[in-house]
Amino acid sequence: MKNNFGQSLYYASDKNIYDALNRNRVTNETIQELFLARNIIVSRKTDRESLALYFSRLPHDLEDHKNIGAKLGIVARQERLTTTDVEIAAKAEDYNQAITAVKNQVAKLNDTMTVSHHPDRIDLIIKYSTIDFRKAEFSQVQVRDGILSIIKSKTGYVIRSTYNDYINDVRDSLVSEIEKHSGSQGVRNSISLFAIPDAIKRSEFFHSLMYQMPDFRVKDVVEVYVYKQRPKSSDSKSNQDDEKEESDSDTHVERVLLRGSGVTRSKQLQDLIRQNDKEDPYYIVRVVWTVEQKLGLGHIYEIEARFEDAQDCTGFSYRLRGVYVADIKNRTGPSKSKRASTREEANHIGGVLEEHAKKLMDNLVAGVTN
Amino acid sequence: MATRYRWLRLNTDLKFSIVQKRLLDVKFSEISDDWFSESNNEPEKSIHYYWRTAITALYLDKNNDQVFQSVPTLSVVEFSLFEYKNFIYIRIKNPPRSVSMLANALERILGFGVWFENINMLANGRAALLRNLPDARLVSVKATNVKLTESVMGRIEAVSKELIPDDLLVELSMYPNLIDFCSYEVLIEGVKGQVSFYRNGQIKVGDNISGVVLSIVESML
Repeated sequence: MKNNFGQSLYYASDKNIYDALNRNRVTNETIQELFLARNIIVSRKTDRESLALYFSRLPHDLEDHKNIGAKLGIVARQERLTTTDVEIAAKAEDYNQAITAVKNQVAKLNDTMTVSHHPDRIDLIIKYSTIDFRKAEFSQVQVRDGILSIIKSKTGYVIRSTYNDYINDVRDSLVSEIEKHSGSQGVRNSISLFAIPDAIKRSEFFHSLMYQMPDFRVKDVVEVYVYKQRPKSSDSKSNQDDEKEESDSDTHVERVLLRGSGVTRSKQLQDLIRQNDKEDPYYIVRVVWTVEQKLGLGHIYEIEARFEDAQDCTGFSYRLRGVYVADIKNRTGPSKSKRASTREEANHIGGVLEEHAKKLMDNLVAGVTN
Repeated sequence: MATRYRWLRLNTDLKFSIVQKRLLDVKFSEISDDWFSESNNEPEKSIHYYWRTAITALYLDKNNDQVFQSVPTLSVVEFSLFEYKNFIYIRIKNPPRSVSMLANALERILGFGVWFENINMLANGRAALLRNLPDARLVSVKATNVKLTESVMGRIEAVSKELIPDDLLVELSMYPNLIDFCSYEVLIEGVKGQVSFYRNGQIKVGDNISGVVLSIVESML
């Protein structure tokens, strides 16, 4: 596992404090609390700039920095999930040893990993921090939670994990450790359309993913992203040809986002996907849609699915973006604002979506090879 | 009695007969969530699309406490499918506010590549009606965002059992997109009836004259 995060924290200067306190995310209540900790009562009418200027000149410690940083830190939104099938001949002991080894590796990076055993799965909850120096002071450190679930399947194990570089590294380390302890080489399968270059079939994958999802009924397709790769220039051509091609590709539109309702049955999308020119047409790489469970309570779930690498259609991930709760008592239908999904909802819908996506991918690949 | 109608143009590479067959192949079963069935009760064949839904009912128990109960039920949309000038059209009878359930089902069954176009009859259908029925009389009109003077925008609503004055019509005809609703009284073979055109593309027509009126307005599709 790579150590991407070195020691980087600095001691905030007076100016950093002044700038931070003047930002909107720091509420007046927070500033009043900071002053109150020094036995200073401030009036609500005192303007913020004066308070920030005064406070920045006072001595401040790590606790003050933490309070301000917590207000300014980026609110971690629910991250996308991805899935990897691992077919490996390993015993439960091998898994436990591998988990212990990975836990030690995570601890070396000053991060923490909690292991919880369930009847059908093992959850590894990893608390880690990322640093982005491009952001303003006090917003550079972001503490995040990542989850990695090992779920038993018919053929081996399915590893469902948060989709980001850090957790992907942890996942790869875990699989390597399992292989090391079991002494056998595992086979990894993930959802990808790399073997299917046909643009229409790639688009059909997403259409079927939405409209044929078992136990769920599509309510609306609200966002569709389409992609077309920039045409590559040939090296064998003469300079003149190269210049001409370069000028042609100046106007290339790579990605188009369509947002609205019923997007997949819109003329605009079909115009992009069914181009009759010599170049390849656009194809869908990301969708956001809402579904309702057929025998459910009437809640509406908003789901996002995408391929991280739009060109090769690899790195499939999904996210349950929220739930519009049905108000059964007042019979007013689903709420207008959505709430965050629970872990149970995410697991249930994620499981259905993963299975369905795998089946679709297998059918498409079988169609290509036959 | 009057009936509302709405038209959609179905754009697909599939032939009309295949579209019709695919829809009617989705039949009722105990486990099916939705299905289509053909109805032969009328002079023209129509298709009913059914889907399962639920309504929540409230009742008071012995202690007068509110108890909510979900009761399974069915929703239905009736429509006709026809081919005209190499295009497939759907005429929906008494459409609900949103026809997304029907559109979702059609998209799911017919597959990726189908797209729909809402046909607005306010402009085309009205023109066909006036051309074919010169005795049609405008009896009601409503228009919004009409520029009344240089600095006044307003809403105009006019209702009359006689003819509505020509000068108002001339003013409104310059801005057809401003008209929200207009209603005509027509006389067809001695039968009097009313036809109304709405901004969202729907028309409402009296059942006694619906056959003739539909054939006239659909000639403009």
